[in-house]
Amino acid sequence: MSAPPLLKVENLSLRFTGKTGSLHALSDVSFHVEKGEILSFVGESGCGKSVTAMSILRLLPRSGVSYPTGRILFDGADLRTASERQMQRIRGGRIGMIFQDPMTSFTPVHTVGMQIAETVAQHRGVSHGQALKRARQMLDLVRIPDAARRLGAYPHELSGGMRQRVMIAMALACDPELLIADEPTTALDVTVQAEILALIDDLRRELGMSVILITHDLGVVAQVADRVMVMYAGRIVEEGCIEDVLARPSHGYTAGLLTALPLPGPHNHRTRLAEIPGAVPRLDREIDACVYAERCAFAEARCRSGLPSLAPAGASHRAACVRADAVAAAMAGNDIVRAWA
Amino acid sequence: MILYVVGRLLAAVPTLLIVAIFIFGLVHIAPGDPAILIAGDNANPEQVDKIRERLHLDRSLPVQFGIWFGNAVTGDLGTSVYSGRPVTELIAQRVEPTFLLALYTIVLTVIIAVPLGTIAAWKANGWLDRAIMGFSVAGFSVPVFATSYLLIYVFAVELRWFPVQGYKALSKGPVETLVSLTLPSIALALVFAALIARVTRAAVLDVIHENFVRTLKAKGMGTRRILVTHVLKTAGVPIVTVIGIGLAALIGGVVVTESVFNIPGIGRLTVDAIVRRDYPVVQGIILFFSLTLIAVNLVVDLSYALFDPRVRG
Ligand SMILES: Nc1ncnc2c1ncn2[C@@H]1O[C@H](COP(=O)(O)OP(=O)(O)OP(=O)(O)O)[C@@H](O)[C@H]1O
Ligand SMILES: [Mg+2]
Repeated sequence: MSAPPLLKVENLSLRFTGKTGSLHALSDVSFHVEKGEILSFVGESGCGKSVTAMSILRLLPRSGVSYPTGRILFDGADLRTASERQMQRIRGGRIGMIFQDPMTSFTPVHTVGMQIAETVAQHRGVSHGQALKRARQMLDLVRIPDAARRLGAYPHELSGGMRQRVMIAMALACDPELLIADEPTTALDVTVQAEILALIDDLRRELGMSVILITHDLGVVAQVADRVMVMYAGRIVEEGCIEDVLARPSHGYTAGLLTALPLPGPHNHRTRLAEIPGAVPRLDREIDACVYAERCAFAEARCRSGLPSLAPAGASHRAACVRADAVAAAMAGNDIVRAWA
Repeated sequence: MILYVVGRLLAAVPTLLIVAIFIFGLVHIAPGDPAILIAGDNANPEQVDKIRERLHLDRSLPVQFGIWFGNAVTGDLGTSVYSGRPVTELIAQRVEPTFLLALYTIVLTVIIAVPLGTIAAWKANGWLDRAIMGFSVAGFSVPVFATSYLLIYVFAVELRWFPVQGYKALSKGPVETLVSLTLPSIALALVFAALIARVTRAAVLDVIHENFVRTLKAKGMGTRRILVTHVLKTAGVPIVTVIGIGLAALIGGVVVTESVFNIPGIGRLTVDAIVRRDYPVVQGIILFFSLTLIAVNLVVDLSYALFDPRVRG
């Protein structure tokens, strides 16, 4: 028997309800995160990656949001029904989170040292001096040179990459078991992106924590993730360990992402994955067909007549695609697939 | 930081000059002979001549301004036409109650308005927000004298918690002073608080949806700490600005309140001086208020640097 997963999300559905109707932002999302692994969520804008992450920490507004089904088990306890006080202890304590835009994610009028230290003080109940000492250690940990002086810097005095390092330091200051990183490198330029990713990868090894890494970019996934979860229109369409998914992509959407991905090389900057033709379906009603069928290069009549469920596509690999085998066969010639096969 | 302070101080100099010219011109802008104007309708020609001589009205305007300005800088604002006493002395005697009234009012206002505005923003569009904003509209639209009489009726006449009117000087004990100024301060604070609560709500609403608030939640910080330590400090600049502007508006209110509550402050002095056409006193008072406002502005400007590190440059 292997150890139970650190985080297990079961059948999570989420609806935004407003005056103009309701939006099925998540439908029947189930996944788990093992201790010490990096699980990556990929998918294009609006597919529900952030909403899934925010649901774990319960950061979404209470009004206008409902969860028709689902449990979020963190170390065995359901976060959906936990008290606000329990959640407050978990946020920043056992689960750290970092966000996309490190400029706007800090209070502009306090020093970064104070902002790290207050997190420590909040969860550890230590004195201000001890909290500041911890903040210094954390800046060292995320390899910020001259840490003692940086403690007194205001966010606007640091570069984007530096700010994201501080963000990571802040999220990790209380030794969380899980780090949720919501597009931590999207706002940064390419060289800095690679540094930050490498840092996250190093730290999870050093600290033995689990990571949920949210990204648009399959290139990022290929670089650091252990497992990947491909989302589309509020659903998981394919999920599995990185080797299996990249060596044998088994959903039309994953295939689309891989085809749209520029090859690694000196002149190929990674671009956002918006090149797949067609538009994401409207989410204002229940969809009882494959959500991707309208844009899929592999779609057949049966794709539009029933909802495919996630079925095994390999040893630790599932895909919600009735054409899984055809997709895998067609993708066999793709450069990335060949590299992983 | 030091550069910023020096810059602000220098910026106040032209303002001061303009104010001085304006105040000097005040008597001369009015149609007719200023001497006759000051002497009043019932004065005889000798009295008018004496005034003309005393105020150097027979000299050219620039010379007059030079004399007046030179005297003003050394603290000599002339003498009262009515009582013959130095204007500076008259004002100095009346500063204490007015200053304390303004200070008390501001403290009350900030204590009432900043939390209310913050709560309103936090619960935006909820019933609490509506109630607070309703109170704020009411506070703003009822005239000061009306609230004053209502407060006097309820808390002085009926409940007898506070005196109906009058002022106890600080020299007779600070508690007495505080008690005598409580009702007038509340009357003024209600108007003022309405304004500050609105501005606080708007400023906090501007900030509360920013990404950093989400970060704070994700760090496990409590609502109160998020609002007080982070949101309010970030929203501080516009709030302090309006408190400063509000202080200017407060001056008009002080005149009315001091009359209603029979407080011997600058407001009362103003009313008396206007009624008596005591121009040197009126000039002196305007100069005094202007200086006060310039000082307040300076303090507000300097406080920006306290709230926002990006201002310090
Ligand atoms: N507070 C909200 N109220 C209403 N709808 C929302 C809210 N937050 C997100 N949504 C909707 O939920 C869906 C999923 O959004 P989400 O932010 O999770 O996308 P994402 O995958 O993170 O996209 P991106 O890559 O752009 O960050 C979108 O259709 C979005 O418009
Ligand atoms: Mg997102």
